[in-house]
Amino acid sequence: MPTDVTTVEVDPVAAADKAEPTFAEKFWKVFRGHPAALAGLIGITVFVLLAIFAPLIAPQDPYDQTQLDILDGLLPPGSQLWDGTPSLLGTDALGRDILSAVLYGLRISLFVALVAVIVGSAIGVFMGLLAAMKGGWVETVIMRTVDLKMSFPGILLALMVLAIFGTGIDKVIIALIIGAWASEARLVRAVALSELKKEYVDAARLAGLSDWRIMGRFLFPNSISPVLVVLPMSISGAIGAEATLSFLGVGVPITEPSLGLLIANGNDYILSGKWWISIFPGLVLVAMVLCINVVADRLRDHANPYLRGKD
Amino acid sequence: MKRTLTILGLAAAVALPSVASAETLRMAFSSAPQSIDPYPFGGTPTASLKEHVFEALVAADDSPLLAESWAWTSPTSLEVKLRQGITFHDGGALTARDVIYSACRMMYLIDGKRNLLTSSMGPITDIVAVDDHTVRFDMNAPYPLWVQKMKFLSILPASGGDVPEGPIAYDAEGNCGIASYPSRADFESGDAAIGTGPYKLVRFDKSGEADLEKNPDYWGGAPEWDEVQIRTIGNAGARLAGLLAGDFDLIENPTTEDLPGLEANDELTYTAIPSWRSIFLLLDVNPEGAPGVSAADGSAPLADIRVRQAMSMAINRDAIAERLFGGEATVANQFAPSYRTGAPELPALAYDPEKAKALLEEAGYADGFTIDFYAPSDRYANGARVAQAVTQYLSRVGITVNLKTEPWSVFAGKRRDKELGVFMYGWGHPQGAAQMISFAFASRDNDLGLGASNYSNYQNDAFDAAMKAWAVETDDDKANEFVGQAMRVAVEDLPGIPLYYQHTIWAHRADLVVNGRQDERTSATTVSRK
Repeated sequence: MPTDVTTVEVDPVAAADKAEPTFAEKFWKVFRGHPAALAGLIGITVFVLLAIFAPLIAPQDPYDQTQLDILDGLLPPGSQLWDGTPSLLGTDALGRDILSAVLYGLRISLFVALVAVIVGSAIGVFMGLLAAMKGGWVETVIMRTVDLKMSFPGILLALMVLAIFGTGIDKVIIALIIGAWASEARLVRAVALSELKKEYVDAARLAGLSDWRIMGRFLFPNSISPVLVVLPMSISGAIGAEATLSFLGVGVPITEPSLGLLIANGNDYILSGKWWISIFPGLVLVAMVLCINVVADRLRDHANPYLRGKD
Repeated sequence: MKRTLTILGLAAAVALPSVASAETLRMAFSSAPQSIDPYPFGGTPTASLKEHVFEALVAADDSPLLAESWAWTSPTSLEVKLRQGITFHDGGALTARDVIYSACRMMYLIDGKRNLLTSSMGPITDIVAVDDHTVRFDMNAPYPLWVQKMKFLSILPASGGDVPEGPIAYDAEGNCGIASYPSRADFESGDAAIGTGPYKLVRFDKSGEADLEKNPDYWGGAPEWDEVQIRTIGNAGARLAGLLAGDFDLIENPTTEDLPGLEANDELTYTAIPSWRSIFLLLDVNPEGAPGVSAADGSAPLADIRVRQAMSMAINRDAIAERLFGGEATVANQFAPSYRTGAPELPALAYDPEKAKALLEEAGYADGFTIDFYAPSDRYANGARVAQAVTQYLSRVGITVNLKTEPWSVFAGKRRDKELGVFMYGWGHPQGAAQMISFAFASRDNDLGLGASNYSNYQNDAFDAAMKAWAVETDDDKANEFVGQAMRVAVEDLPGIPLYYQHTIWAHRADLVVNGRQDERTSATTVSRK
């Protein structure tokens, strides 16, 4: 089916005639002919929109304690709350509407994961570039720290961080950042080392540019693409890690549950037939991570020159 | 076909809990006993285990146990008559000498480790064997609480230590002319684990396992079970799974959520007993302000009685007991369980959110104020959920509540360092209705043992007068009168807000009867066959 992609690329006349493709065209090229990836992309868009507009969509503000009533606790899906609000997906033990809680939980989960991955990756990229550029003891210190970090199981490290700093959304983000930067640093260093051997870097050096300038102007843009490819995978990993930490009770505050904490709340009731408390947040979590992973897979395949054009 | 048979077999195994031997009772505790050494360790699991083997002069419910009776011969002198004809597991007879030996052991510090009563026996100046079955405790000041404290003094045979012949002379260091006492290891190996109790220790393991066998010569009649096995499983789900699989006959503390499932199961059931543990909020009423409590005008809201009344009226206790505990909690109307001996009769505490708002407005907090509300996340049954429900109710009358649930280890440290202005706490103590208020709300008085944990910074003269009078009153009725006076003042002043009294729940085979204890302890003596 996607043979036309190959045709376009090998037709020198067409290629020469065409102007540089726009971002939208490039983007479309990645997903065209890949319905699963496209569905994932649509899914991500929907989840992000739901998260952004949660306060407008949700029937209840589950973080506003004045709107909750334990007398509404454990209502099955399709019930009504004390103030007449319909509860489509039921309530948890404290009278939180599950639909509202899931929408708000999605917000927290996405926010935590995005901030942690973006900040973590930025630190990782900087460290990786620095190690490649400077070499010597700087590289040794950075890379041994990376090795040390990689030798710890991620969740254990995050648990240790939270045990020291206490719990809260900001602390969870810090814990995830500490977990995120090392693999990015290693990746970027590897790419940067091979870039450093190229002529344009020699040229820049001969032109008398400083290390910092070479790093910022040349090395950074040329080494960043592999990180961009793994970024979605890191985000889904961070969503999972946040959910795990919250499930274990060391993550977000209990009055502002994320998806993981909602699942943990329902876990106590799963054997007594109150299935809706865990199932719905669980389904949303699975669906979101699945969407991101499908898209991430597609991006990775596209970035791989051996696979490009074959699929 | 083979598979069907296997499934049928499995179903049968689940449906008919197998019994290892008809007379063995297998119990699963929710946390592990620390030791079988009855002196240094407090805590419910340790006490649960030790009371199978060792007994004290007074039972937890204030009735005589190894004592037959006691009388105050003067305000500073208590004479205790021992029961006749009681023998230890090694065959020796119980005499006054054994009581003095045990008191000496209580005061003797092994490796500097304090024992249960080390600080409570300060007023005891001498212990005298009047005759073989009469012991007299002499004190330097009136100390009526000693009757309660004797519940913690497990009686060992003097033959267990390296004791010279003849009478033992008591001293406050526990030296008493005794060359050596059995060590913790001696108890845990079983060599020194010799008491008068209904069961003898066969084996103890630090993982929380213990095997016991019947003491056929028990003075109270032959025990129900030939053997008792105690195991510890911390995870509630795994504990219940063990019961369902027939590995246990009885388990401690199933979760509230599991109760409907137990009710629906023909083979299993549960027994819930109102316990002595009351759960309440503690408020720092210091007029200079409290940590984590702030008002827009910089005042100290919790110092205003109207604010405390409003907080109490904002909370729907019935809803908490009904919804979060499935009815297995009793709504509190004072700081000790209302059903406890010595607790006064008091009316129910009102739930009236409208009046609460009006009171806050009257006190100048129409726009509310902010509190950091701390609750331990892993200590009390449904604790985190109750804290969230309280947060809901306080928020609804306009108070901004930042709920902070923390593991007990973190919480307890902050409480000790007085960093908590508002916190949730539970108090369950075998020692009478006044124990909690005397520690938590009285002004500090080390001689009378008052106010040691007054984190409320509460001070009220009428309350203090009643507590001081209670602390030295040897007449039970009069003492209860003083408890009632103090309790009424405290409930009016609300340096804390009573919430509910916990029920202790045991899940067990349907063919067993559990006559559960109010002090949360699990004992084979309370379990019998139908």
